[in-house]
Formats: sequence, C-alpha cells, structure tokens
Amino acid sequence: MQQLPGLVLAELILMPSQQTVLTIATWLMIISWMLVVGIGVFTVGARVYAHKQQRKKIAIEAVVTDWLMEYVMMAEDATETELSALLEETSTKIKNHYMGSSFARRVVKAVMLDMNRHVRGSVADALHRLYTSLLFDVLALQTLNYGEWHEQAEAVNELTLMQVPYSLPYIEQHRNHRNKLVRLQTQIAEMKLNENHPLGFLSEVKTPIHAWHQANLYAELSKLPKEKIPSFRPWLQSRNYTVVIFAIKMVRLFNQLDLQPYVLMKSLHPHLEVRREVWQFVSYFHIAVGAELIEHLLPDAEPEMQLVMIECLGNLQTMESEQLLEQVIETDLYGLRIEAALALQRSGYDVLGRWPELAPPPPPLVTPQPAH
Amino acid sequence: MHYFVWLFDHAIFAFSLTVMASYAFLAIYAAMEMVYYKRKTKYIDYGILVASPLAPGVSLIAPAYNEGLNIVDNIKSLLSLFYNNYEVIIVNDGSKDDTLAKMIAAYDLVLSQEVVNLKLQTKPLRGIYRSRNAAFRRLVVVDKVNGGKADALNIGVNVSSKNLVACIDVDCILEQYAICKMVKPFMESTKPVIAVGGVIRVANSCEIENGRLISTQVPSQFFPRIQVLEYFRAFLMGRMAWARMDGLLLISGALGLFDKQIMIAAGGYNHKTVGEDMEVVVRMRGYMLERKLPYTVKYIPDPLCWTEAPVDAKILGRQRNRWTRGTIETLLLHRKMFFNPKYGIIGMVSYPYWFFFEWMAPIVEVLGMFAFLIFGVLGYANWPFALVMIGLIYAYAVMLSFCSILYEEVSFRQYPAWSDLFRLMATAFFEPILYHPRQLIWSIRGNIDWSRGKNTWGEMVRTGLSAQPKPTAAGPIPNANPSPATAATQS
Repeated sequence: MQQLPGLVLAELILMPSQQTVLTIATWLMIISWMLVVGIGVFTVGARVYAHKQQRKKIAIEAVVTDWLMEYVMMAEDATETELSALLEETSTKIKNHYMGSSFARRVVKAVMLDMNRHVRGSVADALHRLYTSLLFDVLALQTLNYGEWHEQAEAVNELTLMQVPYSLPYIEQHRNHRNKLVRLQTQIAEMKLNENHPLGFLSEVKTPIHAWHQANLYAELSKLPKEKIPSFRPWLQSRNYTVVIFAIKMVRLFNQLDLQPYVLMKSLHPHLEVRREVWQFVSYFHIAVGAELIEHLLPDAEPEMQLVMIECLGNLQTMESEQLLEQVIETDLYGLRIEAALALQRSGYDVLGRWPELAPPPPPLVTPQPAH
Repeated sequence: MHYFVWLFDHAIFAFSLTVMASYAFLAIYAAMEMVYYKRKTKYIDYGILVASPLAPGVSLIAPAYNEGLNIVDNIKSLLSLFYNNYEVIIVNDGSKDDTLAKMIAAYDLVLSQEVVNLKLQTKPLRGIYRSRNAAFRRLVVVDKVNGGKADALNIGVNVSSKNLVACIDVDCILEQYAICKMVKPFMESTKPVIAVGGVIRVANSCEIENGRLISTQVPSQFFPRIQVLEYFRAFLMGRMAWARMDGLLLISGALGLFDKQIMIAAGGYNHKTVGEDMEVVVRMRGYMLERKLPYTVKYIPDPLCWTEAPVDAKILGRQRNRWTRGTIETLLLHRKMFFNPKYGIIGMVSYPYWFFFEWMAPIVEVLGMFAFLIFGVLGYANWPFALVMIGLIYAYAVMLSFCSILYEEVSFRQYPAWSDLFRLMATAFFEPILYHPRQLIWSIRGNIDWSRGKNTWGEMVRTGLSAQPKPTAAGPIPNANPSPATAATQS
C-alpha cells in the first residue's frame, strides 16, 4: 500500500533509518566544509578589497584635495565672473573623473565635508557652490526621501554640515521619525539651519528627547553665540515631559536665572524625572528657598524623591538646609539618616565628629608599610 | 543491543543537530545585530560626552588582590580615560603583598574618616584613602579584610558616589572612550537599562605603554591565541545575538556597567559563588521580572577592554574549571527560572540554552565518547556513522571560528597584519584537535569539583601586561573612534 507523503515525512523526521542519518550527516559535513572554504575566501577577499579601496581612496583624496585647495584659494579673491568660471572648471574636472562611481563620489563628498569644517566666510560659500553644482544636495534630498533610516540620517548630517538652508522643509518632516538617530540628526539640523528659531522644533516634538539626545543638542547649542540662545521659558510648559527636562537643564547650563520661579513651579510636576531635575537646578544655583520647599515637600515625597531632596540639601549649604539635615540624622527621619549624613559630609561638615556612631564598624586597622 | 546502538546514534545526532542549529541561528542573528550597530554608531561623536555637564556619573570599581606588580600603572591607565564625571574606586581586598603601600606612596593617599552607607553586607572595612594631590581627586582606595572578588565589588558599590557602577578587573586596559560608549545605552534607551556589557579582548603580545595599548598583535603563544578565537565567538557571535534578543545572561566580570540602585535592590554580588558576574546579571533580571518592571540589558561590541589571557594550560584549566562551577552555581541558584514563562525569554530560552548547551553539552560529549568506545569494544559500533559525525563536528567547529574571524574582519579589524589573519585561520583548524579535548576535561573537572563543594578561585598567576615583549610586526590600533567624515568613506 502506498504511504501518504505526510506519513513518509513524519517517519523520516521521527524515526529516520541509519542510512538516512548517515546521508544527512555526510551532507551537513560537506556543506560545512564548503562554508569553511567560502568564508575563508570571502574573509581574505574582504581584506584584499578593503585594502584596494583604501588605496583608491587615498589616491582620490590626494587629487581632489589638491583641486579643492586650488579652487578655494583662487575663489577667495575672485570676482563673481572669475568664480563662475573657476566653479565650472573644477566641477567639470570632478564630474569627468569621479562622479561616475558611487565609491569615488563618496570620497569626493567626504573630502568636501572635511574641508568644510575648516573654512569660513567666502571660502565656505565657494565650497557650498561647488557642492551644489555637483548636485550632491539633490542626491542627499533624494536619499532623505527614499533611503533607509541610516541613509536618511547620513543625508541629514551631510545637508547640515554643508549648510543647505532650502533643505530645511524636507528635513523638518523627519522631526518625529521612528528612528532615534534620524530624529537626532534632524533636530540638530533644524538647530543649525534655522537661524531665527534654532529651538523652534522643541514645540513640535512629540517623541521623547533622551539624555543622549539632550547631550548632543546641548553640544550644538553651546557652539551658538550667546545672543542666539533663546529663553527656555516656553518649553518649561511643554506637554512632552522630556522637553521640560531638557528646558530645565538648559536654564541651568545657560544661567537663565530669571526663570527660577518657573522652574521651581515644576517641583510639583507629575513626572518624577522632571522633579528630580528641579532639585538638581536648586542644588546647582544654591537656591536658598530650596530648603524651605524641601521641608514642606519631603514628608509626602516618594522614597526615591526623598533621596534626591536630601542630596540637594547637602549641596545647598545654607543654615536652613544644614539644620534640616541635622534633624533628619538625629531623628532618623524616614530612615534617611545615613543618606543625610553623606549629604552633610559632602558639604565638608565633620559628621563623624558629631555622630561618631555613624562610623563603619571598627576594623582591625593595619598601618600600611611604605613602599621602598 | 542493536536497538540501543540505533537509539544512541539517533540521540547523538539529534543533540548535535540542535546544538549546530542554535549556533547557526546565533551567528545569523549576531550578523544582523552587528550591521545594525555599525549603522547606528556611524555618526556618533563620543567626544561630546567627554566634558559634557550632562554626562552621567560613573564609578569604576576595581578589586585588587596582590597586584603590587602593576597596580600603580593600572591605576594611571584608569585615571586617564576620556570622561569627566567619574571616580576610580580601587578595593584592596586584603592583599598580602605591598599593593596598598605602593598605592599610598604613588598617589599620596591619606586615610579619610568617612560615613559609608553599608547597604550591601561585606567583610570589615579597614579604611578609605583619598589623595592629597588634586590631580588624583578621582581616586578612592578602599582597604578591607579579604573576602573575595564579589565582596570587594560590593564594598565598592557601597562607597561609590555615582549612579552607575562599572565593575572591572584592575589589570585590564580600557579603551580611552570606553566609559562614553558604555554610558550611551543608559542615556538613549526607551526602557530603563540595568546593565551594559562590553567586549573583552586578549592583550597578550600586544604593545602596551604606560597602561595604554599602542598596537595589537595575535598572541604568539598557543593558548592565548586560541582564546582570541574563543573570545571572537563568544563576544562577536554569542553575546551579540543574545543581546539582540534581550536574553543576555552574562556580562563579563572584566567590564560591566550597572545601575547602582537596581544592583543594590537586587542584593549586589553573591560572594558564595565563583561565577558572581553571571549570577548578578541573572539576579538583577529576576528582580525586574518578578516586579514586572520594564528593563533591558545592553551590549557594546566595540573592543573596549583588553586583558591578559592565561598563558599555560594549568592556569587556563583553573579558569575554565571556575567558569564551569560558576555557571552551575548560577543555574542552580536560579533554577526557578527554568522553562518558567513568568521570566519571559530568560526563562524560556536563555536559561534552557545555558542549561543544555553550556552545562550539559560537555557531559553529553564525554558520555558519547565513552559509549562509542564501549560499543566499539563490544563490536556494535557504527563506525561509518562515528567517522562522519566526527568529521561533521570538526568541520562545523572550524566553520564557526571562520565565521567569527569574518565578523571581526568586517567590523573592527583589530589585527591588521596579514600574518595575524592567517595565524588565526590556522588556529581554527588546530583548536578542535589540540584544545577542545582539554577544554572538555577542565569542564568535567569543574563539574566534579562543584559536586564536591569546591568554592575557591584557584591561584591565577599573571605576568603583567606591561611585561609583554614588544611585537615585531604589529599593526597600529585601528581608529577606534573615527571622525564622521572618515567613517562615511570607510563604510
């Protein structure tokens, strides 16, 4: 009787014959050896290819750097007509030699981006004109619209570095992109390209601005001239709690002390991270009223928040904060005795002098021998 | 008897196939994660964190026991990392040599009377030392009664004043941007990160100057070279894949960054096990899962930490014996996770994987060999099958090693010399024959020692990395942190 195909398969899987097992094992062994050879060849090939590309890259870099140096140096004092001719000449040279292959294009672009970091004023403008005449901006905008997330991030990064202002409307669309890297690059781009409202995007951001993100934004912000740094007051009211955290941090780091009352109001914010940031702010500026606020809020705060407040009291170094900490230590209020002692110790107070019982258990102290 | 032979052959074949399939899956998954990681970090400028006021505080905790030979250089290396907001806590775990005296003399340390929050129970503290020299303000030396590595790490956590604690080996060499790279996942993850693991690399034969890696070279000695391959497989394939699945159970004791509050809440390091690095991760995960708190454990594939690998078989054997015991102890301590859906991927995948393929696999392998011998003596052995299986396992082992070499080649290429590449490839062929049988013996001894209740580390003799001979044809360290412009073309 002919068996059903399903039964044959089940028998093969569950109870294969000795011969079947041997055949499978042999084939697996052959495949493994083929893979060994394949991977080995591929590994060596990858290195050969990488070396070849590296050599090619160095050669292209050398030529293109020479051309670009010549171009920017001549462009510095050139009239508009001379510059146009120079641009045409350099652009044609690069197009004829290097725009045909994607690798060469990438190298040319990298050289331009690198050079762009070191030039300013008319030289930078001349470089930007060359960049656009080679249609790199169009390629970047195409990638921005149709590329994968990492290509999009690369395109935004490039357009930002080359200061292409008309790309801003296209870049802005990715402000709330699902990928963190694209979002970060987009927001940095907005900050750099939108001269009038560098932080305008903060009002539109719906996605979280994480700590890493914040550190990057701060790094860019700190490069701006002081007069370009806006007041962070509008963003202290944001519905996005991460924007509020960022705003409080920036108020602190850019010394916008006039916003102190608005920041202190956030000590009742529903989100714990925001409140934590408020106490950091209070610590940083040694805001005297902080001790009074803490005394008022400490009883109802969550244990985690109580720790933050105690730490803040230690940093305040005012008479009130010291008294409050002493009280916590004396009465072991909320079980925070040690934390309060540590906070007081950080402010230079001789804690062990006053409460010797807080010292670690007596150890068998051995005086170390000096090294010879 | 024929039935037994048939059953045995099939069981061995099925087990081997399962192991191979799982390795293949991990290799493919790791490749996907590597591609994602490289794309994600293409434009990262870690430099922004170095002096940023927004960088989170990190305490580097390094236990030291009889490290007098290199302790001063080691600390110098730790103090020169590219990061601002960090402190270095060296815990002198009751050293019998001049470790403490050397530190006091070299760094102008004085005893400091301080309150310490002893949240984690440890052996008594003898004293805390801080430097009078402002240049060493980051250095804290804790002197305590000997209690083992876990105990020393716990006291370091108690003394730490930062929110993130990095537990490291004092003699390892950290890449300059190591802290920046390790804190990034804590800063950017949507879910709270409780731990981040880093990659360990073998520093034997590499050129080291003033506690810094100058150039890399594949070790000239056989055992360290084998370990290079092992580390490639473990870090670039295994852990990479587990991290992608969020099922990583082990963060190497040589380099791991943890959320201090969670670590304390979970109870810190367990000083009753010799596998404290794995145990603490499993316990922290268990703590979060039991409370249904969202969390994740991340992993950085960059070569961040270089360490001296054991050179001779005796010391390597002791290390592997200890690792085996540590694995068994951890698995047994957390046996409630075994196939327990409450623990998600940890209970249903990671734990069973470790149980079957890390603990049981060497036992099955040795039993299989014995059974083949017995069948052979009795005249029942299926020799064609035995030979094909040996050939298959050998070919698969070489293939996996080649695969890991390829991953290294296309990702970080830390050994740029051609000779290094070919030596590693050649080592892949010798490893299954010359090294694997020893590894099995060490593993079985580990099982035996565990069953006897052995709970000691065994002496680990190190020659010290500064004492490494200068390599002759070493390659310079490839740019670990290329600028965005160079990264664009390198890709």
